[in-house]
Amino acid sequence: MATSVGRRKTPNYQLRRTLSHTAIYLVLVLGAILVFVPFAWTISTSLKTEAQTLKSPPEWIPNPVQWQNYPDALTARPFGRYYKNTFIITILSVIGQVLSSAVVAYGFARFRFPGRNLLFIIVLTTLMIPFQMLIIPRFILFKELGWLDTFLPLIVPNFFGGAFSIFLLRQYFMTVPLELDEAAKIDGANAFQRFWSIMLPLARPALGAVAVFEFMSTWQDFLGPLIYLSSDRNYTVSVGLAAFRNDYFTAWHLFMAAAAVAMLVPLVVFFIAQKYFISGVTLTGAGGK
Amino acid sequence: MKKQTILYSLAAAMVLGLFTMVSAQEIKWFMRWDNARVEAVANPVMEAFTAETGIDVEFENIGSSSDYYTKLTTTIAGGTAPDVFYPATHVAYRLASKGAMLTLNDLIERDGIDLAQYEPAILDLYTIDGNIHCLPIDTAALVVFYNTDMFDAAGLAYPEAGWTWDDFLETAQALTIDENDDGRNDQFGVDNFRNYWPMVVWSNTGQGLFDDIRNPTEFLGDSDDAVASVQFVGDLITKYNVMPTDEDRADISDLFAASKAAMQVVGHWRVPRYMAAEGVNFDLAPLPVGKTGVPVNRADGSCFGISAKSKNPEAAWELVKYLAAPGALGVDILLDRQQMTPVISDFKTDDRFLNPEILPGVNKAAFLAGTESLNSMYDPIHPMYSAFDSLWKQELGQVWNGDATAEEAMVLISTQVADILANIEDYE
Repeated sequence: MATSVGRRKTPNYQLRRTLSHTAIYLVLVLGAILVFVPFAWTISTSLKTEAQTLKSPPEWIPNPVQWQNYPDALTARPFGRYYKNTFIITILSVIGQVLSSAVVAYGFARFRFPGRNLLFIIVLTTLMIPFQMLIIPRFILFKELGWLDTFLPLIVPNFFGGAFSIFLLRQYFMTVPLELDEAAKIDGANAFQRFWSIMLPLARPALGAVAVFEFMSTWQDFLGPLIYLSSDRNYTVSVGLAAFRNDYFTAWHLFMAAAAVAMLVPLVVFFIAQKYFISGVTLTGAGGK
Repeated sequence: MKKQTILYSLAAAMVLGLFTMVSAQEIKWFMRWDNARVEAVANPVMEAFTAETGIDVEFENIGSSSDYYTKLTTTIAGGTAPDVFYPATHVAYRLASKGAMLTLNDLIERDGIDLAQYEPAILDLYTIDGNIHCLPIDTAALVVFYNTDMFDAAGLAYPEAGWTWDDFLETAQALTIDENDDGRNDQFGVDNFRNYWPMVVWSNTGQGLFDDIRNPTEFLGDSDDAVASVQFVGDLITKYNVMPTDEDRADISDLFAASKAAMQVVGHWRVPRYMAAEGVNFDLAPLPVGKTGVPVNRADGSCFGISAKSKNPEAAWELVKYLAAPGALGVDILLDRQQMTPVISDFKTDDRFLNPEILPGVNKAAFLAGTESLNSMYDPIHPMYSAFDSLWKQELGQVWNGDATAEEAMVLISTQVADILANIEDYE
């Protein structure tokens, strides 16, 4: 029976491993379903007729499949222009956010100056100011500047850094060995050169993460465009989508068709930048490697 | 010579330029309609308006009310309010009491607007200390929509004016069906209308929830009749099971449209939806009468008002007249679209509202019932309403769940309301 003792250990170990793997996969599959179901629902609804969207119990497979919803939804409002506007705002916001936050974060990470920690705390505190409190003061400010109904209120603030991005980048910069800076310093590099040629290339994962976060939040932003933009030609996709909704009725089939197209862009961006996005998530906690 | 011609033409151009600067008036009109109404109503109104008056209209539309009000209040606070806007009852009062809306009395008098055409109880909602702040176009009147096929299948007579809440309950019970006896209803007597509970209170007590709708000093919702009214609504859900719970409803937004409820208590705004719903044949009955025997209905609605800061109030007033004065083109087009219960008497008797071809035989007059006692759902029309609103939603939630009796909930509400009323200046 000695052989069976030796054998017993292996299946036991394998069983445990299989079990723990099964558990892990089960959790992952459940999580994936949880994320996927609303998405699938969007697609399914986007292919239904209006009458089908009201059916109960709801049906998952549209019958007949109403492809016409897509052209209908996208031509109901000038979505081509909305996309162009959203792209312009988003791209410029991302550039502004990444550049300005990197500069500020570099300052916090590499320079010693009186009040540095206090300033950093103040920067972080701005994260805790509810946006609602800022709506009216900001609105008045932009009115005084004559920027209402232009893209400027949505873009320019991004050129002054964002607390979350600054925090994320600073944490990453601090993990970059100081020796690299010192070596560059000895070679005669000034602060800007060290920032531009040493720090930025090394911090690409963190910069990518900031860019993706900013892209997502600007692309989805509704309240900002709602308040600052007032003519149809300046609307963004999110404001255009709201046209399918009112108090008494939502044209769900058209809304979902337009929303599915609106989701496509962030989805593509996410797949391209997935690596950065995930490293960004781990960065904030683990310091990144 | 050449120099002179140039000079002359320059001068002419300048005069022309000046002239166009003066004549090209522009006003901003901010709305919260759906796309269909923007295209079918707003656009032709603007076209006709600009053709007749020469005033250009810059139009903006945000479909959902909450987004609309966010933007409206921001622009008002920021000093860039649109010239003409469209607030609902409680918002109109709030804006007017803060001085954000132009008083219309002088303009109304000057242009001889016939105020007698407006339902007095509705016009009163927008009148503060004798000052009219906007012109209403509709009321939020409630009726009972009923599915005629389901009534026929159950062998029930259609409800008639003068039916009571007891009749209503009996009807709802006869229409509640559990086909396979699994303890879950497959068809409900009535879809959930619990948020309209004050309407049952009005019908049983003959008064609103407060002693004075504008200057509340006493809460009347804890009277025996009011408590019994709330309990009645709760019992429809928990005792008689003729009205669905949240769980029963799942996330179906309208059981009546889905042919899962035989009745629905709601206003005119749902008509287009039920017309579009497949296999739903409906008719309308007035609200049941309560203990007082007097028919009641809901007031409220929306109105067109002008910003107090408008740089061009005269032009804005012209547009308001186009939209909400007796004979207004805006209302005229709206009638055709089956969108609302009009508030102007000439429009109320219009066949396009009362007997539209598109809804043959449907009792549209039900929307006009209950003018004997019109009440606001935003009671009291006072800045403290939002505190009261969240209070009752929380406490009555226990009643709708069956976790508390109406009496227990109303005692709690009453104590907290007393506290609010004692410190009412904090809310102003």
